[in-house]
Amino acid sequence: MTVYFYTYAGVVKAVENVSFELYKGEVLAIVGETGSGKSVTTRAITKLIQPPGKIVSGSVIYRRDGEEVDLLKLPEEELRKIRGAEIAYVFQDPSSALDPLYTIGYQIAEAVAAHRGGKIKQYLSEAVNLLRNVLIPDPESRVRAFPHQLSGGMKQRSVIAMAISNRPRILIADEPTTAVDVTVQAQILHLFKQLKEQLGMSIIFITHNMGLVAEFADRVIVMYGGKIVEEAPVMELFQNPRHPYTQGLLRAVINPITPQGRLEPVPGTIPNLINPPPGCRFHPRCPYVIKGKCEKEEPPLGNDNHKVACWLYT
Amino acid sequence: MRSLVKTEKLSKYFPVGGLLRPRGYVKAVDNVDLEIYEGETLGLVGETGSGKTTLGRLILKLIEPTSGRIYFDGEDITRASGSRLREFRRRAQIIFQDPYMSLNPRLTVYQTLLEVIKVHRLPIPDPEDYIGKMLELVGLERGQLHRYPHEFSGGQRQRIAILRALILEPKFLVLDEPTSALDVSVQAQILNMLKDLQKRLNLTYLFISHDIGAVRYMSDRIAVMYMGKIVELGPADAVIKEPLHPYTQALISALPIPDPKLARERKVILLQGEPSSPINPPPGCRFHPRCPYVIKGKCEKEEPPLLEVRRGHYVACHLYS
Amino acid sequence: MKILDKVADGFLWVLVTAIALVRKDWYAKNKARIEEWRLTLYALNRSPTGVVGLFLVLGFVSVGVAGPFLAPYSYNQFLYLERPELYLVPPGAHGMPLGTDIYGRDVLSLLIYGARVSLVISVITIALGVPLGILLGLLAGYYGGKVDETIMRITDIFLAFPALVLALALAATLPQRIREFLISEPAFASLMAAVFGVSSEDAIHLAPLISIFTALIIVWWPMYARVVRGMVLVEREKTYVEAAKALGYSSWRIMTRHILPNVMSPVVVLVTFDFATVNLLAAGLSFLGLGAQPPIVDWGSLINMGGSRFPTAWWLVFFPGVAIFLTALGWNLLGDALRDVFDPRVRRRIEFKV
Repeated sequence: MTVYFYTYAGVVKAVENVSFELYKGEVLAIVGETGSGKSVTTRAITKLIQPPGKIVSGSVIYRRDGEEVDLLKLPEEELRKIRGAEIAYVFQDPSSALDPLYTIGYQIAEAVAAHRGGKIKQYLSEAVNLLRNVLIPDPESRVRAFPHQLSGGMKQRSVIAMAISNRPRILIADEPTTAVDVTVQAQILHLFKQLKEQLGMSIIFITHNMGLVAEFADRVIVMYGGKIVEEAPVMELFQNPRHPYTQGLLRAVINPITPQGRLEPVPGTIPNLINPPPGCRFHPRCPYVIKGKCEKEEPPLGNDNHKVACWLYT
Repeated sequence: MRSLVKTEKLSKYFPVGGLLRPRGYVKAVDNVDLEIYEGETLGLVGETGSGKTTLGRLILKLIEPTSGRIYFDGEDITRASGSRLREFRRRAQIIFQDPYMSLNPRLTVYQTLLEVIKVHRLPIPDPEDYIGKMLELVGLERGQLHRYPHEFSGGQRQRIAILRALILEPKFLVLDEPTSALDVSVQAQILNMLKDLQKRLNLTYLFISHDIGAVRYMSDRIAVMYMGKIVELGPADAVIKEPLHPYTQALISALPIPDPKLARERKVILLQGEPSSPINPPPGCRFHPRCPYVIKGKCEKEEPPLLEVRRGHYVACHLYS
Repeated sequence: MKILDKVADGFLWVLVTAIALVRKDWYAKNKARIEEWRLTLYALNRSPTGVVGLFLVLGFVSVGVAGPFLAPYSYNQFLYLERPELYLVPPGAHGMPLGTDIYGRDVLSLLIYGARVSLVISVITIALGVPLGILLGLLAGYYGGKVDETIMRITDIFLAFPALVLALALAATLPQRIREFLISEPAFASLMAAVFGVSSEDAIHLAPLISIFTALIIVWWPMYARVVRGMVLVEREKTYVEAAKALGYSSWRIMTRHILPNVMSPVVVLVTFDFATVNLLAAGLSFLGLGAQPPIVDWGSLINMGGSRFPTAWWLVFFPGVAIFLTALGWNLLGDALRDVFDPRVRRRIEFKV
């Protein structure tokens, strides 16, 4: 899949030729920093891209009722049925995901009604149940609360309730705990684990926090500059990081329990995506750059269990 | 060790609601005694509502205290105003969390930094050259002098903000979540830069953050705040490795560890619920409704004082008194 | 589309070269700002209604400024006296493109003079009323508390004044006082005359007009105070303001050099719309007979003249009406486009075909 943004300054090649698979019942973590393309990729899965962005090419094959469907080719009506029902999103900032003018009970019921039809009011009791599922204390009275009356953690839980209200098969969570406190983050992560067991969902979990990845993910994709640079099961990735960027990322992450000497940041800055560096997009910052090769040709991703896009390994 | 910053029973209460009189008070910071020694980095951790941000601003007098005293370099600056206040501001500065909004979007980098020089009448003969040199010092290019903030990345903006604070050559810097809004790799760059600057310029830092890993990396001592009070204070390693207060223990155990084996093996202390309403908090220990070791009859009645339990390591908890 | 962009580029180039003649290093220091302007102009070009509005406004302003020098006949040329057949003739007759009025004056010329009057009234009202409103709004929003309360109560009182009633009330006594003042200060009178595009002898007839825009100024500033105050309340909470405080900057500096530039965009949009509104109001007041008195003429008084003779002398109503309509439309279209253009998110979202 390739997604470009046509801006005044130039064409931003936000996502370039990204391919991956999501298996049933797994937690796939997508790791990357600003400009890696992780958020754009997941939004593109259900065509949630606004101008000046455009999905230039690619397909999203989704298994539905035993047959395969390309989501990018579906008519808007069909796609709308899938969004929110079979593929649900949880975004980073719960305050902007909730409408301040309606109670959370109403908004959850609305999410249900949008897909099952009928009046919103009839789903209010189901909203109470959902709130209980996401471990909000005293759901019967909370269901009548407005977003501004709730704390950050509870807002995010309400958003998660909305997301799971139609028993989605895939949950895409984009930095869902970045805006909340550490102890609340632990609670929400715990909640995600519980819900995954209960509902048998597959989860795509986007984050820049390697600790969360270690806690929760089954497989990890590392993105940089709009491309996938490494893909591996979680243990493999942490014990044996292959791509120099992944290695740099792990070295720059502070492990609070086991102290390290000096943090080693990754030198340089993220690439300009309007004129990305030729060849491998990481080569200007790579400590192991192979002159004559890395700045000319783009390394392919590879095909085994632990995929890397790096000339050091091909 | 000389004390550079000292607070005595420092409090900030925000009035809340009510038609003619306030309904109650949010005790954002409640009777805090704190000392920061010259040359050290004191880390201040806590979650939303702990009061750490307010405390940082109180110390710099960006917010007026409700009661208590603040001492800087031996002087009582609680009531300082006018020129004494401006003099204080030259010696104590702050770096904010949000690099996107802490620079005036309508001024170029040059204009922003030049303004500091002009307002404080710093004796710099060639400001443009000086500012250019300073930019290079933090890894930016001189040619970017006349660009606007939105043309820079978050990390670069934070560097400019740091420059802005350092032009005045202060002794004390409050770092209010300076890297929370930045990418992981950039965070490391900025933290290292701050460490280097501290050594070179003999600065004293108050490092406020909810990122305990960063706090541990930067700090000599750590203070933990919960609902306006300091619940634990001690050497950084001690507080992280052997947390004494139940809240600190839960906080440390909730940290995500970037090691999948360890992460799945250890047990996380999951706290119930959320902090109680900060308006007119209940008597006794503020943490008692959520504490797994609450002592009935004591914890909800008496507030535990902050006592030295081990060498240099203080806790406010009835389990230890 | 491309042509307009080229025009915008050309305009910017002229501007930059002109300034570069005076201050050598201005260009280097402000390169980024110029690029922002360029982007703003491009964004404006993307809105067809905005461009139409811009041209209408430019037309209005040019006619208003240059008109009295270029009009075929002066406004006080009572052609009727020399050529009696020119009494109230319809458009096209006797070589009068838009007809003549009851004094035999060429309606086309009268329209041009009217443009000047409209322009002057709107400019003076806005130039005097708006800064006052902005200042009070700044103070109220920044200091809050009692200062805010006091200023806002005063604002509320002034907001309650209906423009029309005030104008009527003032019209009873103020014009007379102004007339006396103009007689006693001939220098001032000549200045006013030049500004309005009339000859000095007729200066005393300007009194009612001056009375109108006094009324307008009094009613105009409160709205700006309110709008600016609201925006300052938001801006004041932003981190860069706190940073300025931490750096020890004075309140005045923070208000004028930090907060004010960041709240100006909506104010500019409001000003654009207000040009239209002031024009309409002034025309309305003139129509009621409170504004321009003969021999001074503006669009509203022309309509007044034609109103009693409608539909026979329809051109006296139609042409001024069209002029008022087009002017107000131009300002409104421009204001709409500017509002979108000033929103940086909209600017960035403009899709450029590759």
